Amino acid sequence: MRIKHTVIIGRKNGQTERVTQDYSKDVLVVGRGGNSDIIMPQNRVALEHLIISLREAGLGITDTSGRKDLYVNDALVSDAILKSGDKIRFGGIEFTVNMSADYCELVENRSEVQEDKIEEAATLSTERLTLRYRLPDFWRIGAWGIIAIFVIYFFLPIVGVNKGSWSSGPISNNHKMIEQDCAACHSSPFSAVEDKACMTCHVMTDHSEKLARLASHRSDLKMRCAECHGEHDGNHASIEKSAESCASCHGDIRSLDPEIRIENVPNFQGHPEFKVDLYKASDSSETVQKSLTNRSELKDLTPIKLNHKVHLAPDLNGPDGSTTLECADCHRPDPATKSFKPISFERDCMSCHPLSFDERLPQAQVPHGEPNEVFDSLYAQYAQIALGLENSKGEDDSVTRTKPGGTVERATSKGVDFARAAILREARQAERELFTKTACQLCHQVTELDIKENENQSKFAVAKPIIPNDWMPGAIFSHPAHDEVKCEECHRTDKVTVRESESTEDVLMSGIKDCQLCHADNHKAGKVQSECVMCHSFHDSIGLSHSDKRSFADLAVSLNKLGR
Amino acid sequence: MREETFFNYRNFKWMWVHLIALTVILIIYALHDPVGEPAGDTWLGYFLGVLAAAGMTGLMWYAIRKRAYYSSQTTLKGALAVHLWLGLSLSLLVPLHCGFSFGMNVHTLAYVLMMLTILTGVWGAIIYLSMAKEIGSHRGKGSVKELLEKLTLTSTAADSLTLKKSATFISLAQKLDFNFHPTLRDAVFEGEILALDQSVLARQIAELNTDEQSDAVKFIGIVSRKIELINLIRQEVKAQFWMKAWLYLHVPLACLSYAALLIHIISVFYYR
Repeated sequence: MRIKHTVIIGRKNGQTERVTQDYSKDVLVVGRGGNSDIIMPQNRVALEHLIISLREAGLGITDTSGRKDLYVNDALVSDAILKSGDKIRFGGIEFTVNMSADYCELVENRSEVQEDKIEEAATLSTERLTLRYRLPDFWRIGAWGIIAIFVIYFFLPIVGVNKGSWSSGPISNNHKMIEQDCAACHSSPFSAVEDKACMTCHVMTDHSEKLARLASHRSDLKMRCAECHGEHDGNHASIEKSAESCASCHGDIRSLDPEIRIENVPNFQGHPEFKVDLYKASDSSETVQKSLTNRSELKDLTPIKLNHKVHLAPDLNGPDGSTTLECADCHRPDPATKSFKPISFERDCMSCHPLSFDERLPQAQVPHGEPNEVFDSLYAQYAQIALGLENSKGEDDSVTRTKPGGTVERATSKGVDFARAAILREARQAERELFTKTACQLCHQVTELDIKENENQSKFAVAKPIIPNDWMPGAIFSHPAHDEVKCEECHRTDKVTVRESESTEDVLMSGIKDCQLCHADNHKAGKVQSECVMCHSFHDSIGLSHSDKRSFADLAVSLNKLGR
Repeated sequence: MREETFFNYRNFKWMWVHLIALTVILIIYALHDPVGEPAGDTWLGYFLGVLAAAGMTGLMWYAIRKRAYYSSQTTLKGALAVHLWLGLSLSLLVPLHCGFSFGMNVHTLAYVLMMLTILTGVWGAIIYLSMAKEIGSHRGKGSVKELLEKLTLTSTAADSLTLKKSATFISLAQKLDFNFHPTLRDAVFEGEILALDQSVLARQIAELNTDEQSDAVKFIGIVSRKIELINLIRQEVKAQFWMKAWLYLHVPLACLSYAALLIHIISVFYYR
């Protein structure tokens, strides 16, 4: 039996050529080495790759390369007996076994086209050692990246997905419910947030209106809500507080509009002296603002009399013996306003000044009210007493008490008239004592009216006082924040402190100089940095009047308008 | 005299230009007291934003300048020097533009991408500056292609020596010879192939027939030459790999960063 090696060469012109080599040996070495019987020049073939030998069992094949690179019918083998039709593969070469009775043919197909390709591949081997061969062009990668980033961060946000990626920061806590609705505030593209977007939910009737009036003929002064109320700066609402912002208008406010009467405020050091609200006259409820500059001309005309000096003196004769009053015993702090509750007679005065009217009746008092109420109370109380005394003596039964469910016996007219006259006499006497000597006139301005003795109404009138509770309604002042300071440090005139003040006419409010002891424009002066908004509100009204408030349903409608 | 590179171009001229400009900007930033926090929407914020966007455009322009081979207005080395120092300056200019406020959004994404581009650029600059000498030392020894061709020739020479040799010779040749398939991965990550151990070989040669011994010495010489060539190829491929690798990050990141910049500009003006 002979072994033949046949190479079928496919030429480029389509023809095939057959070259056969006969080997009259029983053992053939196949390899790249010069010693091999069948020399294969391919790089992947080992010097001595395999041995083909005739054995008793047939034609055997053995892998001698030590590389485990021999496949028979695609199965990795180290040694095998071949049969006709087997396909042998090693080192990138393929043989087909063709057996006949007297020879064994190893057929190898070669194609010139394929070999050209192998050649090309060889020249490409340099290329294959570069990144360019492995990866796409980096500009192409960049182009794909540009497309991806525009899709994710431009087109998706435009159609409503991944909108948050455009947000420059978290929205303030109070606006969280509209965080996802960019258009709620940014109503039109490429233009700044307009006030009408704010006004969909918020109602403001204040400074901004004055400003709007001003801006109607000075368009350069037009301000938007968003200029002071920044957003996307975190959970806490950002509110513009710098004094410079206020001073940009108020520094020379009179130049903005000839109708403006308020004074210029360039900064805190240049702040004009405070003004207090004083009543125009003692019988007027109208107030007028007066500067503390001319203190000698200032008088509190409220028709009430209070001697602070007397009240703050030590060891007063109180209801429970000797007592010393503190300011806060009458001026009770109001945590809600950080100021004080209005003075109330019942709460603040009555324990020392009971409205008793008859020594014989130490427990009996009249109400702190209108003179007629006082008179009615006196009359009713004397009537009660009179009736109670007569019943106990049992001398006159013409007037009897009415028992529930019982009958009323008609009194004789003579008896009633007698009793009424006595009661009225007692009431009138007590009334005069109260109004002119023991009680009312101590604090109030009392005038006697021309009323007949027997008429059923009070003979006295009292000028109704409105005790000022807020001397500077345009300013915010926190009493708790100044808790460490004695009251008389600020509540004084230029002559006396509140502890020495004997007249209610004293305007016991201190001027800006006292504030400037601790407060300044900036902390660099070793003082508390104080912006305008520490004492002033840009929006005149803090909070809304009841009529401006909304129901949840209304707010929901507003939110719906915002596109939710 | 030290060789002038894009790094020390004209005695660091462009480094000083950018340092001075940054110092001036830092002083203005320190003196600037805007309403609220410093941010991109104050006058200084807008100014620095415009400056940074122009800077980014200038950096992208380098890609065009690099390919404008007939440009005579500027030298490529000078343009690269500006590219380097301008890029480094932007890493500070942009935080000043936004007042150091960052978040999870496309605006900060633009900054992050820009920073990654700058960092990969720094990496590239370091590679170029450190490899300049190494690349130079390869010159004259041939390109990868030439080295590969030489390698094929030596392989063939080795093969031809095995013609009609004894089994002992073949077995020695089998042990020494190897097929070399150059791959990028091996070149970058594998170390050099060790030279043959001459003392061991001498013993093995002694075991051969005397008439085969001279061929064996030749064979060993050829294999040693092959190892030398392979190591040269690996070095060259490795150097070329690192000189290109950073660009595969730098260029796409630059594209992404410029795209993010455009989206940043559009979005901040869309929702003013």
